[in-house]
Amino acid sequence: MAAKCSYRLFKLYFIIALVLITSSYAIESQEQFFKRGHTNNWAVLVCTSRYWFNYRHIANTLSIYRSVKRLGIPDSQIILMLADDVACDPRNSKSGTVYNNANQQINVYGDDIEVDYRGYEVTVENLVRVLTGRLPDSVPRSKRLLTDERSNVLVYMTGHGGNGFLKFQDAEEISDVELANAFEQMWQKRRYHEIFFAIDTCQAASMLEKFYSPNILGVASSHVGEDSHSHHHDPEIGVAVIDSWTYYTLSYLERVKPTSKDKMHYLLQSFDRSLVMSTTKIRTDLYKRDLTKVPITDFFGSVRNIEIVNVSVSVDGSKELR
Amino acid sequence: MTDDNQGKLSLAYTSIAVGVVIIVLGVPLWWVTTEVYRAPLPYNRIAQLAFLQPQSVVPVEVVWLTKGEGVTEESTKLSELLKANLKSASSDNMTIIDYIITTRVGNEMEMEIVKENLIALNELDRKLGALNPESQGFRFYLLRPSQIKSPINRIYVGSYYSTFIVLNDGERYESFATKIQLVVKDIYVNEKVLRNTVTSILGFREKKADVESMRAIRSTDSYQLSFTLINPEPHNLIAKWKIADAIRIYLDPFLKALKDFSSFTIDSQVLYYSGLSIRPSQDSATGSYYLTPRLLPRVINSIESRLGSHATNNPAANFILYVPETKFKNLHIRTSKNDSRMTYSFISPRWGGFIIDSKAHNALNTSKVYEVDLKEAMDIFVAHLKLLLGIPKISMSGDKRLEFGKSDVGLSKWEYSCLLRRRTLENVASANQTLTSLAKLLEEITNIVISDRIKELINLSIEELHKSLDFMKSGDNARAFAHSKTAVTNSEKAFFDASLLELLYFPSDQKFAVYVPLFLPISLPILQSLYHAIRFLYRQRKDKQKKE
Repeated sequence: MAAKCSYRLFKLYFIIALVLITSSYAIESQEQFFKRGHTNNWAVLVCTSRYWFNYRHIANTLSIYRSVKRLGIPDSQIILMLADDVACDPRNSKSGTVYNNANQQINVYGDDIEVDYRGYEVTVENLVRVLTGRLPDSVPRSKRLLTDERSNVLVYMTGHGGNGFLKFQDAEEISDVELANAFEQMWQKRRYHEIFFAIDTCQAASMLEKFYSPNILGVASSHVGEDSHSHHHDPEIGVAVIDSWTYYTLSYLERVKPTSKDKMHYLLQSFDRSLVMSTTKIRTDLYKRDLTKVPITDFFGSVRNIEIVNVSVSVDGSKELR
Repeated sequence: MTDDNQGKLSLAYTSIAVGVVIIVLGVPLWWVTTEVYRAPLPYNRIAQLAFLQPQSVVPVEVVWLTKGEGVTEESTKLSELLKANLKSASSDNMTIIDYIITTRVGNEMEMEIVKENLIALNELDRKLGALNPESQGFRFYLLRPSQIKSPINRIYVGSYYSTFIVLNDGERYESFATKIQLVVKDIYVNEKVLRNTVTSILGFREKKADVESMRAIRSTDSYQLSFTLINPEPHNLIAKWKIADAIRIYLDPFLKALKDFSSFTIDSQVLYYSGLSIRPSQDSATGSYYLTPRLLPRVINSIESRLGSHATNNPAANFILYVPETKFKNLHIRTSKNDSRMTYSFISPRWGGFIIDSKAHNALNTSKVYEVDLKEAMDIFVAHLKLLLGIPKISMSGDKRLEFGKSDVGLSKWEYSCLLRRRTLENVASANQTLTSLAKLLEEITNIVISDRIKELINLSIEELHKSLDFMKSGDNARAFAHSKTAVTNSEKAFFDASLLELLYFPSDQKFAVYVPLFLPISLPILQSLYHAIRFLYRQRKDKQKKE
């Protein structure tokens, strides 16, 4: 078996070498606009909590949702999993709204929200099905993650977690192993180019540890043994409105424009332990690119490659029709 | 004493009875009911797939239509040279293309066609192409300038499988061998693209973004094409298009030529009051507006959310025709500051094509109604679609050394065969990869249910994969493609089957955590009393033996 493996490896190295040699051809000037290794961006945003007192988790997710939408990922490429119960909760004094700040400047519930998995549909099974693509035929396009080997995927999760698990709506939990296996299956079927996995929960770093598939960049709000805290309360609403780590992520993202050249490195270095009140954990060993050269828009936006071509093909069907 | 013993004995028998029922009936029952059904899979055959070498055979035939002497001697030399040159570049253990080179003198029918006084090249191409429409090999016809009408210096790549090379007086075989090589290597069979496509599926990433392997939407059964007309200011200008007619006349013949490749569903829409969310720059000299390539991704962003969701799960290609706001005079794309070329269209790989129709404002009459020139637009869209499907760019962008024959349907036979070859290799690699990782997954995670349906799909996929490889070796592109498509579709159906996720994949420590609180309180007393009962009976027997 070992001999077989090494032969296969040798063969693969040979292909890589060949590709490298043959690709050193003259580059046309227009191809300078064609530099991204991915062709499309997707986002999977999961809020695993429900009930009024978890207001902040819903606000977290909706805020990230708004940010990636503003930076260019269309709704058709965002899978939003949300219990979606606080906006119309009887305890909500401002019915139909969700605010992520006590100043109540932005209603993140807004009027253009597309929740793909709502209420009791937010389950571990559905998340794993979405990630691995194993959905029944009847599921519509908008609820599917139709990625390919050139897709960058942003996965954001928030909720209540512990060492090695994240709780889903008081009913079940997803373990670090299950999540890592789901990503591995995505990799096996070449369902992603790169994944940026961000998680804001207690002991969040434990969810990163079991990943073993390539090209995953992971960031977690707190180390194992540490809690992640909420940022502040809104006295009018009566509960905490946002989590600390997400709050500082958003305050960074607010400054990012769709045309920004800002790099992931600066976002990941921006978390100040004294402000966030937990230690941000970054896992880069699976991710091979230099973070100082990876634009934030590679994950939080949708900057597509462009090819300017002057081509035209004449089809004349009029003859055939007559 | 005996009473006490009697009681103990019956207690021991009861314990043993309970223990036996638990062990003989209970444990197997639990085992059987919690067992995961796993149909036996051909793991060995799947493991062997890794060693399969997809190899496509390309027949190349050089035909002398010149009436000259010494052809036979030159012919053998030419064929040897071609064999050496075409194979040298691919002399490794990953030969995906194998060339079969033959040379011959034109046969009677061919010579008959050339004999007709001074035939034009496109006419010649059509007539020779009609001679053997079934053959999929590439042919190179060598001609003298005196044999054709208005001879050209360039190589003429016909719209069938033939290329025409007009020989200059005294031109030696080395010279036209390089020409043949150029056409075979760069046009008919683009080995670099084929390699990159295959390696990209296998998951290798290059440092640089590779345009050729990233441009095309992945191979599938059916594509969705959606056409959108964007009219941001209907109060100033009403753009109209007769898209249904245009599709029928300018697109359908092209799609018909691709009917064995894939099916297409088409939709169209007109969007009002939705313009670009960005401001184009203005040229101070001419006053016209332009977009820089850096802004173009945002052009897509600003309209993408309004393109609507698609009715199918098939990969979609979007084609956008944008009539700019009246204030943006002559809006165009500029690749650099001093770029004087006016470009009005671009594509985004795996997404679609975009045209800026800046003629509207010049053509505007008092009625504010503007009829879009769809002939011109569709010509560009068809070219975009060809690129997005993975048809080589070279025939559309042109090369100074070459001239291309035009086909009525916008798709040359050789382009089609190029597409099929590329997609066959892609499908084979993809099916192979899917089956291998599915097998690996099923072996690794032991509590995945494998139903008989999955087994059938996998077996069918392997069969089809082998058939496809066989047809590739015999040079039959069309059949190889058809089988590769079935192989990849079935392998994906198996991989993405919803039944593979009937149970979540719990690690064994979690299973232990579930069973321990359930079984431990019951099983410990039973096992303990069983142990005591057996010990009691054993001792009693020993006592009996001692007494005797």
